[in-house]
Order: sequence, then C-alpha cells, then structure tokens
Amino acid sequence: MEKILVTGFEPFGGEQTNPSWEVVKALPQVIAGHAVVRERIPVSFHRGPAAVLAAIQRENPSIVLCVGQAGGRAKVTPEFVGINYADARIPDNDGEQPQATRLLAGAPDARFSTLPVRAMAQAMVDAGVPAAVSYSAGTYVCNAVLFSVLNALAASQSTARAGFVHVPNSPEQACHLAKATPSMPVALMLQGIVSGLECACSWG
Amino acid sequence: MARYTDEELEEAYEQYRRGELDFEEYKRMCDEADREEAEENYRRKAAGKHGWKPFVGVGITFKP
Repeated sequence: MEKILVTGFEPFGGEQTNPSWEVVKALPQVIAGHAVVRERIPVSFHRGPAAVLAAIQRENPSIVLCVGQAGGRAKVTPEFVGINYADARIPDNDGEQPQATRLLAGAPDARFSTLPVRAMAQAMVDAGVPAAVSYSAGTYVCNAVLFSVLNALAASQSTARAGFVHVPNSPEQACHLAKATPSMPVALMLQGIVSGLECACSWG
Repeated sequence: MARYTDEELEEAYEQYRRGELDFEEYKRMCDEADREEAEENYRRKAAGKHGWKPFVGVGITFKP
C-alpha cells in the first residue's frame, strides 16, 4: 500500500497546543487507499526540516503533506509556494531567530508545491470547509519546512509529491488570546485535510 | 502495549464519520493513542542513550 506522510508541529510561542498536530493525530489510518503515516516535528529551523526529510527517507511516501498553524487566518490554506528565505519574528523552539537570510545557499529562490493546491482547496470547500489557496507560507519554520522538503525532493528527482497546508487557530487557543482572532474547530480542519488528501491521491 | 490498535482507531473514525461517535470521544481516543506512542518513543530513546531500565518499584517499611 502506498503511503502518505503527514506532519504536524509541536506547540510554540508559549502555546499549550498546536492545532496542526491536533488535526494530524485525528486523521484516519487510511485515506483513498493510502496508509497514513504521521510525524510530529519540532518548531525549529534546523530540526524541523531534518525531521521531515528523515521520515521521507524512512517511509518512502508517495505524498508528503506538512501541516502548520497560521494564527490570524480564518481558512484552511494549501500553500502554493515555499521561498528560500527566513525572517523570524520570534525565536524557534531552539532559540534560533534567523533574520533576512537565505535558507539554503545555492538553491533556487522558490519551489512550487507539487500537490494540486487549487483542486485541493476546491475539494475542501466542496466538503463545507472554508479554504483557499495561499501564495505565501510566511518566513518562519513552516516555510522553511516547505521549501526544504520541495528542494530536497526536486534535487533527488523523487517522484513523491509534497506540499503544505496551514490551519487556523483552534477555538481553545483563540479563547486565551488577547485580540480577536479567527479560529476553526479541529473537527472542521480534519474534514478539510481529509478532503484535500483524497483529492491529492486521486490526482494524476 | 497500546490501549487502542490501528484497527480500533480506524473503526472509531468510521463511527465518527457515520455520526455514531462524538468527535470529542474520537479525539480522546486519538489523544490517548498519541500519548502512549510518545511515552513509548521517550522510553525507547532513553533506553538507547542511558541504558534506561523499567522502574520496578521500591518497598518502604515504616516501623512503629
């Protein structure tokens, strides 16, 4: 059975939970005939990408979907592109705070997701989940993971397809935030991620 | 040994999809399975690095 590797992040920035991992651990064992393999990865510019690449090496998945939290967004957002750039507003969980720097010297400026992001967003909407394609994964660890994975797969001429989806804050998080912040129940995020992965599995 | 097998979690997911199980109950099962796996991974790593052995127990007797 082919595999889908789905990753979610540990909490960061003083939060107790990270909705990306909350939704990943609730995924079913099998989606569209593909076995789901989960990996919880650190919010670290160095260890985050390394953990995903190690899991890819170990599991040899045909699809890789990394999921991350995007506080302030109201929709589930498949990311179109990862950029070769880091500019951290806050330190990562290792205390590193790269600013205005390239992630990988000598690598391209950007890598496009190899997942069908427009179709995935539409599949999510069709399933009743607020979703839209995003054209910026930011400049924090999420983008570092996306760019590093896409670059590594391209460099190795792998046939695995990869991408990234951001999810909003959960209501539990939003309750404890000082300013008004959009949130989405984890059950709805789950429906979105499952619909997106079903679409990706049936694509091409 | 894990409390929930993959098959049990898959069945629970299907029950949730059919509306026979609350999401909160399904999520609780997933949380528990995740916690057990994390503890198992921690034990495995600790055993590899420091020769960790399972804690058996210590008996303490109080004399009057």
